[in-house]
Amino acid sequence: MIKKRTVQSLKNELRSNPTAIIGVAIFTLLLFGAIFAPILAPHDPTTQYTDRTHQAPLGFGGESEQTQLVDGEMQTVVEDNSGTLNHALGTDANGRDILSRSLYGLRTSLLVAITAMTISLIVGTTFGLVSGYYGGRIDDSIMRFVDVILAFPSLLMALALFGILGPMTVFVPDPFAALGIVEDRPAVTPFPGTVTLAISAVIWVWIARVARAEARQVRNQEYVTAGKTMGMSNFAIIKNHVLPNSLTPILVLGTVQLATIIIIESSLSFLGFSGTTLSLGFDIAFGRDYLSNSWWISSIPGLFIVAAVISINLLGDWFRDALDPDIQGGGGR
Amino acid sequence: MSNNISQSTDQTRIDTQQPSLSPEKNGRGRSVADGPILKVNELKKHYIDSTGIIDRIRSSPPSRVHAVDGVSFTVSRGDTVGIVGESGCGKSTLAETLVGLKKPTSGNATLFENDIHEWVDQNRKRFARNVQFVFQDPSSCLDPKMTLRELIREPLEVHDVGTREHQNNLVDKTITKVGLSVDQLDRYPGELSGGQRQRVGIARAIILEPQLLVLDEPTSALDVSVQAQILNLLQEIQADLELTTLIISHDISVIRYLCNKVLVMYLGKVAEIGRTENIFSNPAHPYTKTLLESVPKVGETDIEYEEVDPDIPSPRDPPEGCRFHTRCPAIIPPDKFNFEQSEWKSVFDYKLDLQSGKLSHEKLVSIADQQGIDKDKGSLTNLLQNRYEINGEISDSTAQQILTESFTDLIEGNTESAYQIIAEEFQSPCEQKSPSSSVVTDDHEAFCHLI
Amino acid sequence: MTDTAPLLRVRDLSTKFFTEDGTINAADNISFDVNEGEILSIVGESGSGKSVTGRSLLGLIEAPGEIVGGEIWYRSPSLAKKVDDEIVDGEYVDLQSVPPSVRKSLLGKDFSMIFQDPEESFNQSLTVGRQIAEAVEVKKRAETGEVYSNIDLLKDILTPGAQYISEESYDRAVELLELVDIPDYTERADEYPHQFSGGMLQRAMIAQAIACDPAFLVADEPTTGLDVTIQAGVINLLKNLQNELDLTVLLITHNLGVVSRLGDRTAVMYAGEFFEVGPTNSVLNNPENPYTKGLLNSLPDFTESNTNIEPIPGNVPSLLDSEMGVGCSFADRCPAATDECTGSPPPTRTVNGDSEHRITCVHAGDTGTEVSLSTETTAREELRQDTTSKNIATNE
Repeated sequence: MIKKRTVQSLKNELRSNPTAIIGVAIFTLLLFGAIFAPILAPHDPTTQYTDRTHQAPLGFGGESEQTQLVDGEMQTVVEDNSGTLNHALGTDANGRDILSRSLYGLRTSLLVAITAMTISLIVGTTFGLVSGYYGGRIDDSIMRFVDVILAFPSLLMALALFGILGPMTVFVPDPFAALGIVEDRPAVTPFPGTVTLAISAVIWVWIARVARAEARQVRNQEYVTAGKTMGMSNFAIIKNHVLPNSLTPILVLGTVQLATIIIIESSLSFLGFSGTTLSLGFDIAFGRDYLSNSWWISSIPGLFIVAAVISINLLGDWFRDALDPDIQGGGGR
Repeated sequence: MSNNISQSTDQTRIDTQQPSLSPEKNGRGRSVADGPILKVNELKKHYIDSTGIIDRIRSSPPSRVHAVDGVSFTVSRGDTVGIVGESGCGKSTLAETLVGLKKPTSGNATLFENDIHEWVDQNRKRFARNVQFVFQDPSSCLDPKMTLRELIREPLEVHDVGTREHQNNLVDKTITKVGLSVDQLDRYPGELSGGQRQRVGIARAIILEPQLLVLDEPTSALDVSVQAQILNLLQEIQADLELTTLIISHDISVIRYLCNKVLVMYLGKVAEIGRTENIFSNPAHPYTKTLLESVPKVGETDIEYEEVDPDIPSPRDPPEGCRFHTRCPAIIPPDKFNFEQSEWKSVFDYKLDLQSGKLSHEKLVSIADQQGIDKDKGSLTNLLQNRYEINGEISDSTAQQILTESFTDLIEGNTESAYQIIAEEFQSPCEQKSPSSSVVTDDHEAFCHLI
Repeated sequence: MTDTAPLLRVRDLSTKFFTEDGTINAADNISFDVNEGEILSIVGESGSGKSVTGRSLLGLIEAPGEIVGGEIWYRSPSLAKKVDDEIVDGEYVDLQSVPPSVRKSLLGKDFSMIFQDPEESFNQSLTVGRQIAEAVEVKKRAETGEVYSNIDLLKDILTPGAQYISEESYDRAVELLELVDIPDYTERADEYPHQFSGGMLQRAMIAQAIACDPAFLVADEPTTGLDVTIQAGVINLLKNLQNELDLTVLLITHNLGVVSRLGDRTAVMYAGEFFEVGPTNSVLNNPENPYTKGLLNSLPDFTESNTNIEPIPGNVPSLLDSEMGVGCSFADRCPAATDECTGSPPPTRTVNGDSEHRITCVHAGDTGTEVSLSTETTAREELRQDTTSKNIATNE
């Protein structure tokens, strides 16, 4: 289903569009970081180095006077929390390495995003194509259902699901640890099930709408009528003709929605609704109290989210600009 | 029912596991004398505009488009039947109904004595094996994401014909049959020209060797020089595969070239039907005559042409009686008067305008205003006479009296009575009764009261 | 043979389109005259360049297209007085060299156009009468030298009650509807385009086009898409208008039947070149160019039974510069082609001694009568030659 022509359009657009290159570059970097987190993280993200709490990132921080209780007496002590290479992005209030936490957090975010997007694509495309192709009552009922879901604020829906299902964390064994490539890293990656489900429940409707719009257009094409006169069943027509010709805008939307998913996931874990603490949102929440002095505890995870979202948006733009004319699908006279 | 279906088609096909393109092996060789294979019987297809809320509140009946309004004809094996007409005549709807894409409102059509629409309901695939369709627009009837090979092979896949290898063989054979080459099979439709795409469309339709092939305007979207190629191709295939074909077209030269029988349609009904030579050399129906005269002939630079009334009625509200009576130059005058044909046509046009509301006292006044004509009786009468091309007095004095009365009423402001007067007296059989079939000669009938 | 000089003399017109896929030679060094009061038909299939030629004459070519060469001499004594002497030649002005604003101002005044799909050309949310009146108004204002400036725009926005269109313009619009034989023209003027049938709308478009009393009208496929019985009416209308208004028309079509009825002279175009030009009768009944002959032979004839049509093999060539050779573009499909045909561009010759009928072909035409309307013999020289000798190169 992925045509040579599509790949060629993508390559051409990439060459001519500098923002697309930036998007691809950053996203690849982040993806790489997330996948190889166990290797790239300098520390175990859960280890608390109590002697190095609130350490600033490299190049920041310095000496400061603090009043502390030492041996029962209030004393002024000079504290130095300058950044060191050991903790290049600093440590949080409990002394955990922020770089390591962010990499694992990114992992969670991307895992959730990709899983949720896959579920949304499958469910949304199915409903959307069926709705658009058949029209009539089937279309009406599916679309009313979609409208109801769209009316719910997504976060509220997620909270409700949480209440019912609990976090549903799946502990996925980490291949790197299992293979013994790394030591001293978490052996399992906690995968927040409910969060993924909740997000899918909300995102699939957008996909469905786009799929429906495309299907409605495609079903009026003569090649669909040709399928009927050939004796094809409706299912065969949808599978062989409607789906391939509707795919492009769906994929473009899917790419852009990845960013939305990451934001939703971070928001949920910020609010404490997640299945894991290894999450960017959680870290941001955790550092909330220290924004005035140890700003890096919240900001660094925040920057990772920003980077992910921007790069994905650029990727989406790249797809759209490259494939838009391709949606029509016809060259020649 | 299903037993009957499989029986009649199996008689003409060998085991579907090994179809071939060569007609001899199929055991064909029945002659035309075997009788009609397609029978269409008073077929009607109406579209009903969906009612809006306001209409429902008012309980007004939804408007109905009489696309096909009672068509009957038969097609024998080996025939190439052309269905010709202008826009709104219903030929495309007729084709779509015969292919099973639409359900008739009433009437029916049978193929090998099996009702087509029951057949489609019960076993669409089986039906599709027997009846195939070639579309008008070659650029939209081919899925742009599929290669030619996939496109031409698709019918075989849908109908489970043979192994993949066998299917590929058939594809190779068929694509050469339609004049393209095997190495083009990996291309996409977007890379081909219009003529080439149309060939692919034809290939897809014939690869299953259908009993009936229906083509909807097969050359209308093509360039002139390419049209010729496709026309010859169709002739070849028709002869080679002994197909029975139905061709829809608005282009009468295409019809004359390809078809041995012609059906002329107007506003949902058949105007004339018969063998091609008969229809073209001796058209009986006034509409057919008009059609043939309107088409400019290449190379004839000096002919003057009389236009026919361009006001085509809508299929939503077709005229009573003979559909063509509102525009027919040969409309039949009432017996009791002695009209010259041109006078009668003028008077009848006047009556039609009153009837439809196109002419009324108010309109008359506004026309006079516009043209700066005085509103006295004499000038207005003149105006009316000029408008309807009535020169002086009509030859029949009784008729002239009636006409004068009507004019007077209209001028004095009474549109209703102006109409009533002539409506009663000036009636044509053409508007009262729908014409039934009249035999012109052997294998040539027309639906006109004149014959 | 006309006594008056031609209205338009086109010399070596070349229009190219610079696209991503390459340069397309839509019109390739075309030279022809358009005589005053005649209907000249350009006949060709799609990809022949006929539409581009028509639009080039009106200056309607937009990027990526561009007129890259040639001159379009327009006979207008009044215009000749207004422009620089360098681009004037007697009574003729070279439209290619005229400043763009002047060129544009000719549209809707001297030149007008009708298009194939009247539904696309009308604004669906304005009445037909209003739109035609607009055309009248524009012409009126152009004549009085009024320019619609930003102040006027502001005024119109702020005072929505004020009419852009005057009463007279509207009345004239209704008159025009009558002129094109639309029944009940007063009522019709207040109706919207969707209430008009295809044929009626085409007539309305003609009305709009002649609203400005143009000297020259380009009709691009005016009857395509119309029913046959309606088409006949439009053909008659154009013929009548030609007579009544002394209109000069360039008719662009692929329909040889329409050309037979309407065209005084016909030019057969293929791959950006004129292959045969001449009186319609000669070209269609005594064609000499193999393409013309091939085209005529490939048409099914409904007046006779059992005609054999001979399709021209192959496909219309691509107009891409990179794929066009130097010789005749029809050579690969031509039954009479020889090596000579591909080697160099085919010459233009007269046919059967008829100076009006010329063809571009290596093999046909009267030998030794190579004619050329190129810029080498400038318009000045031609005018001189016109009056002094019976040189067939110039007299058409």
